[in-house]
Amino acid sequence: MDRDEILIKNVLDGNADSFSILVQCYQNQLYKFLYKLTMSKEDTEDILQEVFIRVYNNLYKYSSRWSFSTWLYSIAVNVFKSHYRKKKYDEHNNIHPEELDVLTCSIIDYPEVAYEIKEQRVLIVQLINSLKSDQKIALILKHVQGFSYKEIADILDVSPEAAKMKVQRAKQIILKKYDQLKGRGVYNEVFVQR
Amino acid sequence: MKCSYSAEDLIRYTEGLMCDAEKDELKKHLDICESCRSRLGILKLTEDHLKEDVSNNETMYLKVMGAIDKDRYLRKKSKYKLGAFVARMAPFIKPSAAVILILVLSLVAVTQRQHISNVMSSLGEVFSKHDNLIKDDENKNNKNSKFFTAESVTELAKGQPPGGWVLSGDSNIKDMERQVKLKFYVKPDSDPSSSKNETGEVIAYLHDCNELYDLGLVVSF
Repeated sequence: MDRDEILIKNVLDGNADSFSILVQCYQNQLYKFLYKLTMSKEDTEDILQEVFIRVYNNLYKYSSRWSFSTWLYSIAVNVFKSHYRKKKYDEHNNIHPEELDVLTCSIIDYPEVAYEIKEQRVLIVQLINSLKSDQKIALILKHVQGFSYKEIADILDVSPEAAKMKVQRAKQIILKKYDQLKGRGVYNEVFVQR
Repeated sequence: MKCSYSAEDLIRYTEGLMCDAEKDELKKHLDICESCRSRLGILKLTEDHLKEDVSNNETMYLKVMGAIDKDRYLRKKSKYKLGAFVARMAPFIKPSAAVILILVLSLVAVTQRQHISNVMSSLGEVFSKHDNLIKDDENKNNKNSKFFTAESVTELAKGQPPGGWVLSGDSNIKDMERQVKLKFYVKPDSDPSSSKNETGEVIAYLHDCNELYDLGLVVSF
């Protein structure tokens, strides 16, 4: 029995403090995953709290057939999708400038570099936001958490081939949209050292 | 120069799915192709952006612990234990339940064949009686209807009174089953020397559903 299963058993035996340990184990990685999806601290915190409450209330339904993290992420994806449906699509897809400022604050002493990096970030966030919900989730699961296609498939309830296809398609769309933006002269070419 | 590398090739490169020879070839190509360099840059920037850590105050567990019902699993321990058992057994319960259901139905079908046959024939009779009752009701409703469809019954042609003719009166004729309405139009006497108002010519029309059906000149006096 691994750590998660022992903690879950304790919770089901009435020891709520064990759940606090589970939350502390997973809160950072789930926060990162949800933040990359929403690009909003406020939304991330709301969704994260809802995810853990839902996990606690349904913990008795958890089966060790699944990995606990896979089960947790599938609940996070469902809560995100339902949150996403409640909010209007355009509102969700808006980039929050203050969030991008936070990202660049470490290099604020170099305004030119900071501006360039911020512009690149805006571009990347726009490209990621142009993806369909499932493609975006699959791409983020792949690169934020480093999940395998099998794990992504379990979380999204699709086949591993379909999960791989979603990630590949997401990258293809990102390149296609980038080519379109570049063609319209919206962005300068992005040069990155190999 | 036309670039021979597709988006799929660049994705394979970033995911480390190319063999060494392919990688070396692509690296040489990147030295001379600004477009591929730029597109590869976008893929790498996307991955870097996603991998980048995000700071949070790490106090979420306090909020969560304040929001959950801590006694949930203490109060109804046996209920949730049973729920957990069912959830664990769900993958075995579903197929087993289907097999058991099929077996039970097969057993019932074999042992109670005569009874099922009787029930089915009784049901057939009930449905048949029900259909007949509906048909009887429909016939009764048709008979009770006071509306009379002139066109289909009498094959009369629709018509309109000639210009200047005026409605003189109407008459309802009915029997036990039907009712028809007749309208009479008269030709006014336009001769100023005449003392009469009408010429004495009358055309009758059958009135049905706001339509007039010509019955012809019925009287001349």
